[in-house]
Amino acid sequence: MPNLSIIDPGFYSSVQDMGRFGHRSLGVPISGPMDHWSFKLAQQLVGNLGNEALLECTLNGPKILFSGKACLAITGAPTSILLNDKEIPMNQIFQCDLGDLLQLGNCEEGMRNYIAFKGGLQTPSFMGSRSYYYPITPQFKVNKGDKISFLETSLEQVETLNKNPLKATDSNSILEVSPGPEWKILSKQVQRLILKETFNVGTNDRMGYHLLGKLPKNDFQLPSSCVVPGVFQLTPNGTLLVTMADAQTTGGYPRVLVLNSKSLAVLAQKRVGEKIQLKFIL
Amino acid sequence: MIQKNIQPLDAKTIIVDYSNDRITHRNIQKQWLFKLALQEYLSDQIDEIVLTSNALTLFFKAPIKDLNQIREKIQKWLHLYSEKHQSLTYTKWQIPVCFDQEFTSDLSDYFNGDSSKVAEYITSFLEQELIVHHYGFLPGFCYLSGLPKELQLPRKELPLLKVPSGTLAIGGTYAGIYPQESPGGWHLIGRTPLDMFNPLLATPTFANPGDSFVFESITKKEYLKLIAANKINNIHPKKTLAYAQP
Repeated sequence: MPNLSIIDPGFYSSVQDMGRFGHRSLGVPISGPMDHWSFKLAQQLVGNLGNEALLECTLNGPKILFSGKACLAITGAPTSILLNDKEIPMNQIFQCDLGDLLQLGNCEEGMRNYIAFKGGLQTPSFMGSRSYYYPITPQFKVNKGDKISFLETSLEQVETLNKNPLKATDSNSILEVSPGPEWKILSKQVQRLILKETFNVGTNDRMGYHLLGKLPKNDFQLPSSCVVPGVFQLTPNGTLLVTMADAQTTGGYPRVLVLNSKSLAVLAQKRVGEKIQLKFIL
Repeated sequence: MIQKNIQPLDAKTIIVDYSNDRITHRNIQKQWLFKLALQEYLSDQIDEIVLTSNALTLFFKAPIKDLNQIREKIQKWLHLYSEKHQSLTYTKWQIPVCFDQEFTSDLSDYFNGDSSKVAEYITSFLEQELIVHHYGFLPGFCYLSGLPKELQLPRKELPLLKVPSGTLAIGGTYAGIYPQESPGGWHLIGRTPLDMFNPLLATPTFANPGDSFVFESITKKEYLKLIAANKINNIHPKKTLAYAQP
């Protein structure tokens, strides 16, 4: 089988399919794409069914050498794509051949790119998924020198192109939320504050996003309960912690809000320091 | 069965409140069997159900179109469900733990360096039989119930960035064992050489909810020996069958 040879992995790249479902009872996170919208668009553009494994890249993309023909499409944060020395547009299917060198630049804005391959990457599956998550998979990110196999395809073989693919997501500073299970234990005053506040995006990774505002400290002692990507947990020091794809399956902080699916994809493209406001939808 | 509160978490997830029954082997087994039965009943619609201390979380395969219809479906089932088949036995696992001072610095800090209090705490801990309540937080992280009040320690104000794999720790009313290195806010009280989670096995964890753990103190030398042995062949902890008191 042909493979991608990783000349440079970029800042943080990982293999992701839709995720690892059915093992939350053992504490196994679902993983999968952070920006599921751009993930889906990339899969549609190459005519995949949707659960094929692709590459998710962060901020600074990888440099990849091809040992065979592949059809691919790149979506997500605006970035430059060079195939050998020729510029390739985003959000469009193209073909790479034996010996081709593909290089992604730095994201101009946003955080993440998705490189989908017709037929998907052929890394081994662990507990029903190819999504990287250490220690379920042997590694948590793509490293220099890795060889990742893929199915050989050419543009002529791609018949099932989607005529109406998704529109790429807009960057938006207003995220849509609905009340979480513990919203009602907050005082009216804190509830109002959360909906009025402008938050700064703090440290973030595939596990979670910190949103920094001026919320008071608190001391809720709750039994641990399930969290899903998009749940806002109010931490004791008053920052909001939004759980993301690799987040733990349970948490002990109040689950005060839940992002809707579209806004979860928007948040996944936010960088440290960007401003965010919340809008209630019922 | 009484009416239960059923509310959405997100578009594909709903929470069914579960009673705050006293934590006993029988009650946890009861909850576990209830979960399995509901999972079976809804198997065409859901990926899985996760049981935590006082709730069941139902993960649907697709976004829920009509929440009220699901609510009614579950309530109807609740009325028909009867708790008949309760197992009367469970497995008691003997977990080797090293309480070398290298692994108990949090206890020492908690008791302001009073080594007799640390020793007293460990002695009392070794008399406990804790119940595996559920897994969560990390793959294979077990929440162990049944700590008496005097052994409960609050979560730490500042979480540690790297809690080593195998660490036995206390967070509020629960004890737990870190199956891998991870950040953590619980008080670290000891270290086990056992592998708590092996993703290559069909059943990656050895204990089921409703089982229990008792602890055996081992020296640092024994700990290191077992760590080395574990690298060659997975060590299985000793186990006995126990009877669940009603």
